[in-house]
Amino acid sequence: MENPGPRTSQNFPVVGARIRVNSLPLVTVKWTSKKLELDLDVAESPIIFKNQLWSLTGVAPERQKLLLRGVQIKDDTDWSTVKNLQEGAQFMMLGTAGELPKAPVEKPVFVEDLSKNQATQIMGSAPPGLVNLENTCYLNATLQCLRSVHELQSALQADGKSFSGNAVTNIAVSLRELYKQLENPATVDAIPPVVFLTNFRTAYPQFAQQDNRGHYAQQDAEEAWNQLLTAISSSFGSNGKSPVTRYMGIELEHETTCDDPAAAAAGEMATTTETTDLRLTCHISNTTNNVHQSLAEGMTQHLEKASAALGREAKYTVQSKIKRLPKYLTVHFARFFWRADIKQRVKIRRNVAYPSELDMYQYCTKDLQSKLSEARNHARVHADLAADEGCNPSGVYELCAVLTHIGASSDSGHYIGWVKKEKDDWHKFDDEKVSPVKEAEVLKNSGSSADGHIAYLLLYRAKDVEAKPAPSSSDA
Amino acid sequence: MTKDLAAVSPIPQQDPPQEPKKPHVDNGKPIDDTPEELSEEDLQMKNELELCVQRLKEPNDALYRASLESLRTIIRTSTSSMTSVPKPLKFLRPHYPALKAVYETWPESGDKAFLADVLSVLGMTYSEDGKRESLKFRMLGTSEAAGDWGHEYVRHLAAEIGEEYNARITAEPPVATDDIVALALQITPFFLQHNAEADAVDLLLELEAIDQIVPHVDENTFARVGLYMVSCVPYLPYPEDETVLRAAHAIYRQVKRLPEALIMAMRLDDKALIQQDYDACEDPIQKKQLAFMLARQTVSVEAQDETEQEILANGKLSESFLALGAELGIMDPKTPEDIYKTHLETRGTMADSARLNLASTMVNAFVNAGFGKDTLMLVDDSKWIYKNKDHAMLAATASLGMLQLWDVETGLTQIDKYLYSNEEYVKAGAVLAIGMVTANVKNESDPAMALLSEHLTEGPLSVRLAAITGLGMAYAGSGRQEIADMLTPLLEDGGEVSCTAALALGMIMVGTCDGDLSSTILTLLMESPAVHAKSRFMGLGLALLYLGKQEACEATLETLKAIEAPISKSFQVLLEIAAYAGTGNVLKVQAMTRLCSDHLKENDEWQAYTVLGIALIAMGEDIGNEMALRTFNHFMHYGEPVVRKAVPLGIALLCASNPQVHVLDILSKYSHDHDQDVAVNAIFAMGLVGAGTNNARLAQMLRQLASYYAKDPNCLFMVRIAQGLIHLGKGTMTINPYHTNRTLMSRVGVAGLLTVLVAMTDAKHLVLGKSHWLLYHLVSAMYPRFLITLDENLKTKSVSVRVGQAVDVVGQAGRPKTITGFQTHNTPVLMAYGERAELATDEYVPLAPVIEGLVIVKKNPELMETDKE
Repeated sequence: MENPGPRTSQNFPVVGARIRVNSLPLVTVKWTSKKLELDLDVAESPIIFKNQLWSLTGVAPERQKLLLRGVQIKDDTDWSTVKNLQEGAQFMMLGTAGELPKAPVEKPVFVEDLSKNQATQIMGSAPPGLVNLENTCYLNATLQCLRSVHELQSALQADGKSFSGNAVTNIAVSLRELYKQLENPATVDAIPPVVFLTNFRTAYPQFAQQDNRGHYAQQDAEEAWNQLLTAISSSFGSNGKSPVTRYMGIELEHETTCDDPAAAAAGEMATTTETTDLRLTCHISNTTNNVHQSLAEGMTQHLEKASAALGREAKYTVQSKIKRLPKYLTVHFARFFWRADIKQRVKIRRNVAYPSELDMYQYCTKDLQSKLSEARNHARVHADLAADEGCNPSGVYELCAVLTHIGASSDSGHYIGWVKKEKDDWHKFDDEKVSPVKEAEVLKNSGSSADGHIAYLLLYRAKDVEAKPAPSSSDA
Repeated sequence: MTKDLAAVSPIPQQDPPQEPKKPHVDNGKPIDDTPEELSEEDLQMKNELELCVQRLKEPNDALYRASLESLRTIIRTSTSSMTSVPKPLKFLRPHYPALKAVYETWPESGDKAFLADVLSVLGMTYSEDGKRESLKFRMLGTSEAAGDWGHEYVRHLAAEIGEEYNARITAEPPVATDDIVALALQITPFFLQHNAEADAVDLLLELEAIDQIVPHVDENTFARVGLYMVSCVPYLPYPEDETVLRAAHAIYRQVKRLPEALIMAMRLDDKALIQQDYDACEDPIQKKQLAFMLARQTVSVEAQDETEQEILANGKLSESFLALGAELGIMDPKTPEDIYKTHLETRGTMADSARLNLASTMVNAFVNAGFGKDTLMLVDDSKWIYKNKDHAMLAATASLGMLQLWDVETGLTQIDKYLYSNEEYVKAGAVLAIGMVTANVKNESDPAMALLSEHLTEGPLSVRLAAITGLGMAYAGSGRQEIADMLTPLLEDGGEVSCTAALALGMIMVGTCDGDLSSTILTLLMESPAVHAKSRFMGLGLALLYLGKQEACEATLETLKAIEAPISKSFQVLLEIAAYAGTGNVLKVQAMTRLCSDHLKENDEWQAYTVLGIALIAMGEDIGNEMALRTFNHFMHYGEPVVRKAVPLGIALLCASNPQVHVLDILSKYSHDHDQDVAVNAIFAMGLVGAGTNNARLAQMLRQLASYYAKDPNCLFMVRIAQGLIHLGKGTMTINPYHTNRTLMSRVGVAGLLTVLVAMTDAKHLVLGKSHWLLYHLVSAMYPRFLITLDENLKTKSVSVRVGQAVDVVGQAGRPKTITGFQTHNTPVLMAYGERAELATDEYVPLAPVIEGLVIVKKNPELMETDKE
């Protein structure tokens, strides 16, 4: 092999210069897909050669990697030590002129790095569920649904009671503690609502009923729902409106008129009574297809009673109108009825559709309707309604929680709570199992779905009054 | 055959054509005649024969010669069908004992030898087991050509020679066999000339003299003889298989069929022989074809011509592959989402997770492998690397090597940028990518060596490991001592470094039986038998040194047996299975099966390798393949967990890139196994079995699995990887180590595949842990499954070819069809496992015997002449 070393001027000072000039090895440098041909001055340090390449390729010397037959030529490499350096030697050069890839400033966050709790926050994964303590799904579903009534929670928090001898108050206190625990972002796993359950059962022993094998029996969720609200209501004492009635109470006006025109002629006036209910009941007849139909039917009732004016039994019509709409409207499907022949409460499986948005305007009194139109047409809340905390100023509701039942009768089967998260996203609370679902799936539980979940209780929340554009522009 | 004929003496007579009035029954079969009812002609023949016999019994020796001549004429001229005993033999049969007695009484003379000839023929009808009288009299006879007495006689003789040979060599003391071997060689030409090459080869194989067939084979017979000999190889024990291959090689050389000879030489893995064949080629175009064949097997030979050097270095592989991609219109990069098709899954998966991003990284690498274009890594200002975490960043950066596979110059430029990174894992990834990009490709600048050598000893551990692995990938199968010398000192470093170095050395020196290396590894094992998840790779490295070398591993194996380290057993098994890889050695398969069936409760890791071993030994041979699959089925029922989890891997090895429906069904079943290890491996196996096939059925199965395992990160990760593998190189690549009509086993390919499978035997700690980049070892096994035809100037030349399922034509008469169910395409085309191609027209002739990969075609000179006329 020809060694280029001896040909340098240092070794042969006399003739070196001439030889060097004439015999600069012509080498090729392959760079990406290009081939460069240039003279290599072996007398100079490789940095000179690299500078030559710099001018040809635009790649700075410190970014150049020069390879020759398995050897990397460094800046301080002595050419004479490089083997295989001869005329026509082929180098390979690596390097690019552009900027080096940079790490992004913002580091990505990986699910694997997060604690389960953080993951929950970032990924919006499911909130904690409640452990089933022997047939307590009716209660778990109820508790999860009622959690949507945030105002109730705040009221409970604000009410600084502690456990006492009063069983009913204890329910409220233990519920407050339970909700506190569920809201705590550190809580990830399902919670067993033991304290609450014990207090609830102490106050209302009917829920501690056991079957003949000593197991706690399944209960009707609607009864538990009512009982729970009653308990909370009473725990706040009787002074003023309790938060329960404030946020969930529906004021109704019932006008009873005799169907017989003779009664009116005889001077019998229509009588008006008022009630406050915590829920509207939807009775299901064999023609009922949706909530509105059922509510409209429920608003007009017929009865027979003794007429003082006529002195006999007469037919009366009771026309109910809503005087006040609460922020949270509960709709109860009367799905279960007692069949005397088989001595069981059986379930009506009829498909009754319920909307995700419910407008209650048509069921209201004239007076309320006029107040509601303020919000509906002009996007401002009527002064009277603004003063009434916890009412619905527009009459429009959105679905926020559904309690479904699967099975044949209210005392058997399984209850599941479905709670709205935001927009289209819901959570399905099946005891300790919590899973994300879409709204369409929730609305399917109207009795039509094959898996047998049928809505039993619906909880609607007042839709926020949207700031509409100025009336003039909307008219245009 | 002959014995049967003798036993059924009153045979229905076949009518000679002169007697058309013989009654026939309606169903076409001749009616049984009573033997007495002989036709006139027969009667005459019988009388004539009996007269001859009578003369021989008489003392008048003057008539002997004439009688014998007469007997011979009658015997030789009688024509008969295949199913009946020739009439002369039938009539002479009763006189056989008498004639034998006569023979004994005669003095030595020409006539006596003549009589021996006749007796030898008659002995065919009268032979009893073990007497071999035909042979005996043949040896005593005149030694005139046996073929003159007819084909049946020669066959009979061949059978007796075989029996005699076995009797003699098993006798105590063994008797010399020269005389019968000489006889066998006398009748060999007869067989060869009469389309009975199977008989000739069988006879000489039995006499252990197959090499002596060579001079008898000529231009007309070599093809059939060669084919038959090669097809025998899987059923022969070592070293006979090698003898047969050498004989076949000699035959091909004798008839100047260098490509075929070269295939044999490659199969023998005999470097000197390969070089010889290569140098023997004088036609420059033919020589280039040889270079293409050698490049496929990554064998390096000395070549002077620059073009040849480039071909040998696989220098144009990337270019050819990209040309194929352009022709097929698949140049647009695919995203992992294109592969997952999550919209077809029943349930959406969770959001951004490091695990799934890693999966996407790998899927992206596998799918766009070799295309140099993707949507994640090679886009401007890509931040994808940083969407990966720690070790996954290594895998992400390394994926650059896979994406730009074989394209050394452009690839290295892209990777180079990342070498400047301050992030340890990015740098390590870039180092690994350098090794990967040059896998199976040689470059005269040796960039991998130049760039990686400085990272071997210094720097963070991950960079060092990447550099070692990179060198292993880049120089796999090269056997280059200078690279080995760089890595050998690292064996002493202990821990992960020495294991990785051992593996890299195994890859580089695969099948070299390097004694120094193996003794170094053995010493290490004796001195520091520390066991961790990667210790297996040291064993594998040792085993790879002896890959396919059969008994050459014995000495090392014995040494291992003497070492009392608990891991020694694993090493032994690995060494043994690697040494017998692809041989189809039934005894070894049985030994491995026995080892698997032990129900150990602890220290049983090595049993996983025995399962892999069954597949490794049996692969490449159809019957062994089937049997191994059946065996695996039993293991799944009765095996220990360690055996069960290795079974899907074994199946993957047997059926790499060959998705047969029944195998898919089996794997689909295992992918739902309650043992997660089994499920993970089965899912991975589905990926390997379908690798590079775009198999729609498998893709559908995997989508279902993705839904099924949506909540199980390990299984989901594997499902993603498998999905990526199925679309390897967008369905243009194979990982099956067999090529050239499934006759040649790429050692480098096996080494890569085996490394991945061995890693998967402990998936939890390796591939599912921090060493996911071990999957990149597949790069050694990856090769385009294309057929590209080139003209004499090596420019792509599109010709019309028929591609169909290969048919086994060994030993079939005439010119049988070699493919079935074919379709006609214009090259370039993709070829699936088990497919064969042939040129559709006579316009061109291929220069390679097996039309696969890169094939040079040239104008058919004969056709040109006819065109002119």
